[in-house]
Amino acid sequence: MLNVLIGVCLAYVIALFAVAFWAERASMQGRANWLRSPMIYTLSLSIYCTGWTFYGAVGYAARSGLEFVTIYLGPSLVMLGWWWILRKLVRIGRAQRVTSIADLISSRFGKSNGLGVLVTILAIVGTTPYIALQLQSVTLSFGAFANSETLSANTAAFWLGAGLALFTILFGTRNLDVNERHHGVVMAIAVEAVVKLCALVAVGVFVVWGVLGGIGPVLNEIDTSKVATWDVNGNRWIALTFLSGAAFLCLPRMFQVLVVENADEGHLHTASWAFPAYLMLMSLFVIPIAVAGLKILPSGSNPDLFVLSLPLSLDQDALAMFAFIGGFSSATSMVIVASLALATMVSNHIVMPIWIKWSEHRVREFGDVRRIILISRRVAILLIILLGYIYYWISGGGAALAAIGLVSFAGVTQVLPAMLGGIFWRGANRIGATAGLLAGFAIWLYTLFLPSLGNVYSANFLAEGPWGIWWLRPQALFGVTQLDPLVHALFWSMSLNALAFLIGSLLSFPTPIERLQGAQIVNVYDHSSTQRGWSGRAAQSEDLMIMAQRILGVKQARALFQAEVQNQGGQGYLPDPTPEFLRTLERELAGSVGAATAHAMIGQTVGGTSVSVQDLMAVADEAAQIMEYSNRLEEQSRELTRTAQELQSANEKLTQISLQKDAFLSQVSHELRTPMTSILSFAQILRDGASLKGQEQSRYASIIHDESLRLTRLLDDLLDLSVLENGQVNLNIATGRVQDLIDRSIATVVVGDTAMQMQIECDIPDDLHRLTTDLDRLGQVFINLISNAKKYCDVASPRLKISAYQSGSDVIIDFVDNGIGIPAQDRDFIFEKFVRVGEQKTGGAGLGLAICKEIISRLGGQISYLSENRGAAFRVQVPINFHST
Amino acid sequence: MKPVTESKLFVEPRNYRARRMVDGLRVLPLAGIFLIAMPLFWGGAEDSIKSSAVMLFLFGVWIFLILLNFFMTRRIGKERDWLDPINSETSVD
Repeated sequence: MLNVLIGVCLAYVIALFAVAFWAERASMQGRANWLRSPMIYTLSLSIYCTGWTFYGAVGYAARSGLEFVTIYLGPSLVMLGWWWILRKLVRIGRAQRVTSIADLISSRFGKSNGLGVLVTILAIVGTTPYIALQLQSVTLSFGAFANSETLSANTAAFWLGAGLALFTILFGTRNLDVNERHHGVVMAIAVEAVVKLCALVAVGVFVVWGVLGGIGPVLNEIDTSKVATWDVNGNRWIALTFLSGAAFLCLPRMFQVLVVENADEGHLHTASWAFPAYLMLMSLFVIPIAVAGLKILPSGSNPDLFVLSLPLSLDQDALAMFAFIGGFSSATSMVIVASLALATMVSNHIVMPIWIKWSEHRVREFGDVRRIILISRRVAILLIILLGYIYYWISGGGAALAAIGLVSFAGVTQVLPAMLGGIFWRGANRIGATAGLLAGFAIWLYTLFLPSLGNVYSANFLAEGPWGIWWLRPQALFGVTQLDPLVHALFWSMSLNALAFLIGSLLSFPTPIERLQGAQIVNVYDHSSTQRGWSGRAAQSEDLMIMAQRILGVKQARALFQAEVQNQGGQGYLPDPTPEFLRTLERELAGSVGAATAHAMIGQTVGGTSVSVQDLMAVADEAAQIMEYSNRLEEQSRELTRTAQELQSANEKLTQISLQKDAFLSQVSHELRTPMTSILSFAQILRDGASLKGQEQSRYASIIHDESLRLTRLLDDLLDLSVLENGQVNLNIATGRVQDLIDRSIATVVVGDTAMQMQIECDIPDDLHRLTTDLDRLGQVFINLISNAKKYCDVASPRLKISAYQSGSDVIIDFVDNGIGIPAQDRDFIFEKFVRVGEQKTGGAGLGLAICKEIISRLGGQISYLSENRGAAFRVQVPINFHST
Repeated sequence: MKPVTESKLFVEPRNYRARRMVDGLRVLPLAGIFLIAMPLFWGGAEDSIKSSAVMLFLFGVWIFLILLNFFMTRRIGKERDWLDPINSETSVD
């Protein structure tokens, strides 16, 4: 028998694998339209009915009559009232691309990762016992078949867990979908939903018509059974209805199928009546089966297994096998979806933030993130199922475990205030949500979870409270003793949770992101639409093509799309927008516009999802980076332009200097040649002309002498300049008055020139500070400037004005004449060596000003040409006290 | 996105009908809660109510609510795109 059972199980599992695989393939090839039908959606919701409800509902009914039905009525009411909550949740899920309930809470409250982690932990703590419960239900049902045969319950549970983990990893983490939809998994659980409903209904029909003999007799049997009277506890009745309805919204696996896997809001319309009908059918035969079990089976048999033991005891082995498969289906589909939903939460809210922080300074390659997510999800699935197995193993699978279903419900329900507050109340904020979750979680742990474990509290502790504080008794908080423990825990945890949430939200101030997200989520109907922007697949590809062309350029976009068409083995020029292709395209676009922008653009085109605040902020961030980069580039380019201009002007200057040098060299050779020629010729005359008179001889000799002097002077100048330039000059520092120096310089220039017409006027204050510098050298500069003025100022009545004044620690002496000045184009060069301005009638080597400039710069000052004057004007500025540098 | 229409005082009759269906849908779960809680307040002279009676009542209520929802949702389904504020004037009713 056992071998047959295992064989059937294996065959069933293989069939499920095949269904999931086939659905995945169909969706990859774009033939998945009917996979996204409303009926599949409705059937996928049936993971609410787990192995615990499949077997346990009958047991529950056998023990306490109709109370079991609250577990199904709550979700029915939520579905019937879909317009209130579910419609909004589904719309938000689509608009914000919500991936889990933790993601919803975290993104509503400003992408608070702390909240994400909190909800994830809450979900794991609440779900682990529930997974253990599923393992227990399957092993128990194995046991019902294999009464005599030896099969360790632990071994069975272990292999079951391993198989489920394998299935979930295979189909739940095959690839990453932005919308976290898993066609294979959804299809498989839809098939399981049909199997378990048919199984239960088959057993029910068999019991009602085959065993008890019709509807009338069944009602009679009920009236004579031990659950004949309706004596439910009103508190429990209401509380359980509320609890199951709330858990229906908050359970991670329910959120996964209700919101995350929802492909079209219209599916809710069908599910809103079809799912309550499913639940109604699931519970329709529960009481008859329970009553029949109580009547037929020997007293003491486990009512949790009536569904199996009834057909077995009546030798309906095939029906029993079917029922077993039904229970197996319920358990497996729950474990698969729950572990998948939890793994998504763990990888998104715990592993990824840690990894991103850890790898902040490392180079990340493309695909790294994807790999990490997939690995972390696979590991998380394994760990979660392992955790469930360990829980099952430690708790021993006894009665304590059976009670844990509702305890688990109450745990995950703690998310309800934050979730409903978050989607309906804009004033809700992160502080409030955190406070509420922590308060609710703590009270749930204290009043319900820990007591449910059996012997965590001593009897004394329960009766007297911790340290004898009576109002802290775990099951009678604040003296409330009249409530059933479950109702008591639910009452206190929910009310204090809501209170903390309210007070925290009222007293604290949300961050800007929270406020934006709050407005986006609460007013989701204002920003989103049910209308799908992109209907056909071709239209999608075409839009992608247009977008890609705009960003990548026509040629590159065409090449990319063409390559993909060939890759897909298709025809035409537009490929199917497969996830792989979208990823490739996103990567290509990211190279041009940044990752966040590319993601938002593709999401907008393909998913019809609205762009979230996070997306916008990421886009803005990228834009800012790009702008900064382009600013830097612009700055660099400006700098380059400036440098180029400077280089050009330097080059021009160099060219001119070189030209002038050439001109000067010819000038110098000319200058040297002229006296040389006369010296040579007169020396020749003297040598050959013995007949010359003494007077003539003396005249020629004096010419030779004068010319030699001129040569010597020229050579002296060159030498002087060379000495100054090489810095070998010795300065002779002395102190004297400027007035005296000027007077001496004028006298030097004027002496021996009786014909000089130029008037020189001096404007030097008497109290001008005495100069301490090389007075001889400074005098040389003055002489040069004055004689220049004398030489070049060729107006009718030339006049030179010399003025001196003090400016800071410097003395400034200006030499301004009333001549025509120096032409603008020559002003840049007058201080260069060998420069002479214009065609000059007066001879000169063009070294005077160059020497002046060298001297003044040796003295720590500067000489400049004042261009604003009409005539030639030079300014000499020297420090009052010379400091050798 | 918004259809360019001049603001109207009333919506079209079929749209009106859809909106009333939405109102009904909103009340449905409240009615459900009331009906489901009702057996708690039953009580007879002999002070014991039969489970079978409650069971029949509850399943009856259940089926009744499902059917009501089915018909109302079907009415809405055809008009649903016009029920969002983004698509129509919220003030119009």
